[in-house]
Amino acid sequence: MANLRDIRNRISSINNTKQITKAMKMVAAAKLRKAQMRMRDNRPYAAKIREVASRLVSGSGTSSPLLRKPDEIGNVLFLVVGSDRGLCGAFNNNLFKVIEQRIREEYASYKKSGNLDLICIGKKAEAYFKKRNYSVKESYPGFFDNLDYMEAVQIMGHVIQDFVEENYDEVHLAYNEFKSVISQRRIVEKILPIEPESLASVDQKEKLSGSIDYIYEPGADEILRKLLPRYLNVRLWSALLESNASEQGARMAAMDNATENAKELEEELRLKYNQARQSAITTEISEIVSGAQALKDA
Amino acid sequence: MENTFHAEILTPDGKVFEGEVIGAQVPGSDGSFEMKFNHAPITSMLEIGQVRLQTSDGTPLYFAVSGGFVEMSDNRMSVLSEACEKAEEIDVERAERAKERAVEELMKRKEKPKELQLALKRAENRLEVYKRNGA
Repeated sequence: MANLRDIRNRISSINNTKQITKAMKMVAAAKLRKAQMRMRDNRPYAAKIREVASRLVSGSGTSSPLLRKPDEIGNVLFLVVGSDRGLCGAFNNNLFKVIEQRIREEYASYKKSGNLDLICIGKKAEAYFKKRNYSVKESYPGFFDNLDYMEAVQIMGHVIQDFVEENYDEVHLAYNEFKSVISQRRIVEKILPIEPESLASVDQKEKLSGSIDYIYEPGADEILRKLLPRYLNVRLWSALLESNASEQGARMAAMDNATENAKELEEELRLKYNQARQSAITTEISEIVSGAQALKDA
Repeated sequence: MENTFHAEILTPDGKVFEGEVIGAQVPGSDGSFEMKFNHAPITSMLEIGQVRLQTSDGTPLYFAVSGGFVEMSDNRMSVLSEACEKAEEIDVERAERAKERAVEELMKRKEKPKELQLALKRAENRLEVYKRNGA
């Protein structure tokens, strides 16, 4: 028979855990709301930058070093957006596995010859890829503690410079896209060189405005040169915001699960506790009764 | 009643302004210029400077803008900037600190990096716009 005190101790420890996971879920929910708001705030700016860039690129046969299509791919860079904290289910691992698979399938030789570098944003990404002997060129642990647009601009600035100086011929961005609170989409996409087709959108209105003759000040080329880096900045920023919101969503779901499990376990234990308690009482009573019987007989 | 057009100021941190205006003066890269109703379609780069919007009831609104772009077509104008604040909402202390920091760094170094000079310019612009129209 299970010891009553042991069961009681287990119940109280599970109760404590349940309270913690519940609190973490609430915190994640609050952070998620904020993250979603930031995502929403960024959207009009991102859409407009993309629209202008798309018109300029498709419009006048303009050129920019960021559109450069190398004949041969020498070096490849992956920008990985993970999270800083754990306890968010398979949020990080799922993404990292997709990245590893992509590398295995398309860039295995680059990895072997040391022509594949990673830039990791978030502690978890750094830990994962360093442990697996990837060449992590730069990492930004603690990035999400203070999510700031200008920080993203700085990271992208280095990447753009490296690309323009031909240190890299291809840059990929990998992150979790926020689909809903409970589901994320893992995205690995090429961001450099910029492909004009990737800018174009199916929106009819944009196509219409593309046919209007615009005045460009100072000139279309000049504007494009300044605009494309900003387009990339906002692309990274959007990915960061998406990932941030996804992370909170994933944590919320994971913590909700943990709380449910704790509840189930607690119920089970309570049943066991009551059974044990009852059988203890039964034994006691039968002992008293048989004791009384023995006295009477005597 | 003067004709108005739609204006918005967009940044990665959200919309700073959205509404109907009579005129918009922006710091274009080829000099400051003003747009009114039915302005020809234009895309222009912006310098660090001040944006002035004339709202439909005639009150002017001022913004400090740290470079970017302006686009206007079909009586819809968008200012795209990585950082833009309304004059009254400028964080003067922060701008002053940024200015001090930039000046100090520039004094220390022999070569004058472009980024630092731009940082200084942005801080000075914020202070200037605040002094003229925010205080």
